[in-house]
Parts: sequence; structure tokens; C-alpha cells
Amino acid sequence: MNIKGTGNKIYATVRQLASNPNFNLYECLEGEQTYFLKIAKSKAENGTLEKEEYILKTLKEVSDNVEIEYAKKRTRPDSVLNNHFFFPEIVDSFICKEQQNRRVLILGLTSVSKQTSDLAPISFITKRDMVKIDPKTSVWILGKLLKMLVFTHGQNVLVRDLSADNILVNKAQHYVSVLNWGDALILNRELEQKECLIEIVGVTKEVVKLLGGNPTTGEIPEDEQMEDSRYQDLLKKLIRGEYHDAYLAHSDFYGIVRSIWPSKFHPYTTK
Amino acid sequence: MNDKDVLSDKVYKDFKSNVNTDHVTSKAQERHEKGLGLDPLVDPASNGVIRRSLNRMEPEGLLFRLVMGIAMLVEERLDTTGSFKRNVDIAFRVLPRTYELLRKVLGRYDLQMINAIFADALDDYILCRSHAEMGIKIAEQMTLMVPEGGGKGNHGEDPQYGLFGGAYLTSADINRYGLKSYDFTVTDEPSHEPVLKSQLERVFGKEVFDKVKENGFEIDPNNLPSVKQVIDKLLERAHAFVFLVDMDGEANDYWTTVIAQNRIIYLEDTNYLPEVKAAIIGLTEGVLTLSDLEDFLVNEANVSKDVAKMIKRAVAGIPIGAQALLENFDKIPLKGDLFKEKRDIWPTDEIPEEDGSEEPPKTEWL
Repeated sequence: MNIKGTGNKIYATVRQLASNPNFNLYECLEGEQTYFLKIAKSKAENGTLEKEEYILKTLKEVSDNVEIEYAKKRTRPDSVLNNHFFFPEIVDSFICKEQQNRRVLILGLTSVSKQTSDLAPISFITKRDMVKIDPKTSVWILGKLLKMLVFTHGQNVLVRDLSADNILVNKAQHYVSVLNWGDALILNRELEQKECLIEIVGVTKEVVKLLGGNPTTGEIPEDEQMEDSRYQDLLKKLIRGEYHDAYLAHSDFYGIVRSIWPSKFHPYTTK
Repeated sequence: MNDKDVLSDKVYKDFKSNVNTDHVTSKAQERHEKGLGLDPLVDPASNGVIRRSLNRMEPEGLLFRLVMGIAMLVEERLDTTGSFKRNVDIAFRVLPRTYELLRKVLGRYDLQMINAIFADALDDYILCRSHAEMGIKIAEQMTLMVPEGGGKGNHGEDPQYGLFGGAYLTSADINRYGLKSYDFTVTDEPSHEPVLKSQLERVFGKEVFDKVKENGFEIDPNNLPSVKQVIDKLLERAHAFVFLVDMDGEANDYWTTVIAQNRIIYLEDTNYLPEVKAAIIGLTEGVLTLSDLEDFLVNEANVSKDVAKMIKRAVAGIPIGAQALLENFDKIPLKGDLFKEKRDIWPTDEIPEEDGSEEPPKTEWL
């Protein structure tokens, strides 16, 4: 199926990737580049996609500004924040007349993957591949999710859909992104502690599941990578809701993790 | 139709010249101090209790012509307790702006407005509620309200009786088409619970439950709905929103339990209420999109880009296009359509010719 976008661009759908009550999601090609094509299930859902477009554009604008400010202050010249890795970029947005006037969003995650096929939801790890990740692999996934929450909560944005189906990883490059922002809320007030806490607990639970652990208690299977209970205790603390500030959770997380394992690239590893 | 059917600048200025604009309600307060109570035009218990928003028809030959499009009701109830005591003055001052902006986003309808203020049950008047009016009567009825500014410092106010009126004691023609009106509550406090029979009778009169029944609802006076149930009922007939202005956590904690988060709008102050309401209605009607909202606010409402951006963010989460999804949205009658009967909701397809234009009956000679 070919869908005509703005400026006569043609997006050729390759395969359907997902569906929910609000939209259908396809992989599509524009020239040689692959993107995600999200189309509202009906005209009734156009507003949801419109809101998502607004949130993603706002996050991108803020991310760019923050990066500029950070560049002025950084101590290492190559150090970058890359907050824009956590969400898709709006490549195109239009109402498709040939598709009953439904809104279409063309979403790119080209910063974290050249091809969309390099990305997979973390639900595939346990449900499709039937494996579990090792503790060191869990570190970069959870660490990046917490870093994302530092950014989004700082902008008074609640992601809300932090399910394993909505968190994508590039296993080779250690990138983490959230794909669907249609359920997100952008607020013009400061977030309440309990709202932040829910999302911190939420991402921790998803990662504990990937470790083969108990998402209610935070208990994870023993592993030779863990010489003591520090990592286990940290996960339990996060799941108990002891952190309602993503910045504190993120800095404590890396403080403890770095005291256990030195900072070193660890290939994506499953058991 | 005359000048009073539309709130023009001239009519408003003429009216305003006779009003103490520092305290537009001063005459109503004098009346209250004399023990005369509320003016019947803003007393929720007066004039039949049920507030009606009706299509306006004028006779044309044997038919009736829809004067201004079908009636679209916009109700706003303002908290006037504590620091909000001046809200009526502010609402009066921005009325022409409100009216003009709402007409821009509701162009195909006949805009009718109910203004209400609410206080605390410990105040003299829990609720003042105008009739559904168009034109200068909106301004006139604002000046008849009695904002007491008390609040009594008892952690909450009593907007629930105004919400009850919106849900059960309103009859709006827009609902006969399956579309919804608009309802805005502006506050910085939680609502008290529960809804009390004694207070309902105090606000709307002893016959309140008969009136609710007359309006098509069944309510057991001994088992009254909670505030959440009242709001759920209101949402069946109106796109309802709560504006939390400079609120604290307690207000937010409360309102998020009785209405969906995407219907709560957070504002720093009440200065931009006209623009925010126009933005919400425009997005809900599908007249505006998020992409063109900022341009609309800058070009049509003359606000700065920063304010436009702030408003956009405040309303971005609302159910966009919700009115446009309702059945009959594209089918409603428009200004000038002809109807057989004054209270018909759909125009006639058979338009009889008027007397005099018909050929005179032929005389048949035997």
C-alpha cells in the first residue's frame, strides 16, 4: 500500500507491526529509508495522533535547546545528552484523504537505528524469544529508561504507556526508545511525586521481568555477575516506590551500579 | 431580531456606561443588604428552575425560520470565594472578548451563555445562576450576582450544586441533535461532598426533585448522586472541563478523582479564560487543530506567541474533535433553514408556497 504524504512523498508500507484501539502501526519505506507509519484507526482517533505529534515536537524542541545549553557547560567536548534518542522524530504528519481522512504520522528513530528492523520491543525478549537478560544487560536498559524519565518528568510529561510492548531496544547499540506517545500527558503544572513514582516503579518492574524476576517484590534470580545483594537491593528499593524523583533514582542507580561493575561496554546477553 | 440578540461592542459599551465597573455587582449587593435576596434572574430557584437553551425561530409565512443557527449553550460557573471574589468583575470586563472569540469558533450556532457563580454552603448564596442568554442580557445578569467572597476556610467550596444544575436542571436544544453543549467550572479548591438534599432544596427550591423529573431524570432524594456521579451525568450532555487556577495539590488530588485528567485544565490565573475556552471549543468542534491553534490565538485573539504557546500546552490533552465525532454533527440545521413547527428539530423538506403567491383557485362553472 502506497500512502501519499506531504510534498508528494510516497510511503510504501512494508508490513504491519502492531495495532491498538487507536492506531495501526506499519513499517514503511520512503526511498531507501525505513520509518514507522502510524495511522489512526478511524477519523475519531485523529485527535490522539495530533496530540502525540504536539508532544513529540515539544520534546524535540526542548531536547535540542537542552543540548545547546549543555554544550556550553560540558567538561568533555564529546559529551552529549542525546535525549532525543528516547522518542521518535516526526518525519511527516498529514490527513490521508484516500484513507477516509485519517491522520497519518511518519515516525523516525533514525538516531538509534538505521533500519526499523534493528529495533524490537522488550516484550519480545521474554514472550517471543523466551529468554531472560543478564544483570549487566539490565543495567543499560533500566539506566536509560531512568534517564528518559529525568528528561520527560523535567518537562512535566508523563509517558503513561511504559509497557514492555512500547519500549524498544537496539540490542547492538544499547539504545532505548519509547515508540507510542499517544497516551502521554503534557501538563502545564509540576508533576506530583506519586505520578513520577508510578513511572519509576513501572519501568523497574518491566526490567525485573526481563531478568526473570518477580515484578511485585523486585526479587531476581541469583547470577554469578552479582557478588553481593547491592543490585538486588537497589531494584527492590525502586519497586517499593522509595524514589519519587527520577533524577535521584537515576543518580543513585548509577552510583551503586558503578560501584559494582566498572563502566565498560557489555554486549547484550541473554540466558 | 434586534441589536440585543448579539452582544455588539456598541451595546456593551452603552450598558457598561451605567455600571460601576470596579464592582459590577454593587447594586445586587445593595439589594442583598436590604434583605431582598437574589434577583430572580440569577436565582437558581426562580423562573421554573430548569434553564432552557432554545433554538430561536421567527415566523415566515406558514413556516418558521431559524434565526441564528441552532442554539449552542456555553455554561461557566466561577468560584468567587477568597481570592476569587473579583472573578465576576473580571468576567464582566472580558465578556466582549469572550463572546467574540466564542462566536468565532461556534460560528454556525446561536451562542447562548449561562453564567453562574458558586460559594460555600456556609455563605448566604451557594449559587447564582443566570438564564441561557444571548446578547446584552448576558452582561445584565452578571451584574445581578452576589459574590460574597467568603469560602469560610473549610478546605473546599460547594460547586456541586451548580454542577447538579448543569446536569439535571438544564434543557438544551443542542442535545436534541445528539450534540453536546460546553460546561466550564473555574476553581482553586476541592468540592465538598456529598450532595445534600437540604442544600439542593435551599438552592433550587422545595420543588427541585419535581423539576428534575420534569426535565427527564429520575433521582431518589434519599439516595443522591455523589459529585462524581453528577459530573458523569453532566458529561452525557456537555463537554465539561474544570479549570484549576493556581491550585494546590489538594485541589488536584480531589478533582482527578471525579473527572478525567484530560478534562482538567491548569491555569496560573484567570486572565486568559476567554482564549482558553475558545481554544477548547475550537479543538472539540474540529474548527481548530493543535497545529493551527497558535496562529488562531495570535491572529484572532491578539495574544503574544508566548501566551499562545502556554494556552496550547494547557489544552493539548483534551479530547480533540469530540464534538465532530457525534452523530448529526454534519447534519444540523443552519441559519435560515425553514421548519414546519416552532419546536421541530429538523427543517421541512416540503415548503408550501405562501398565501397570495399561489394561483387563485379556479372557479368551475356548472
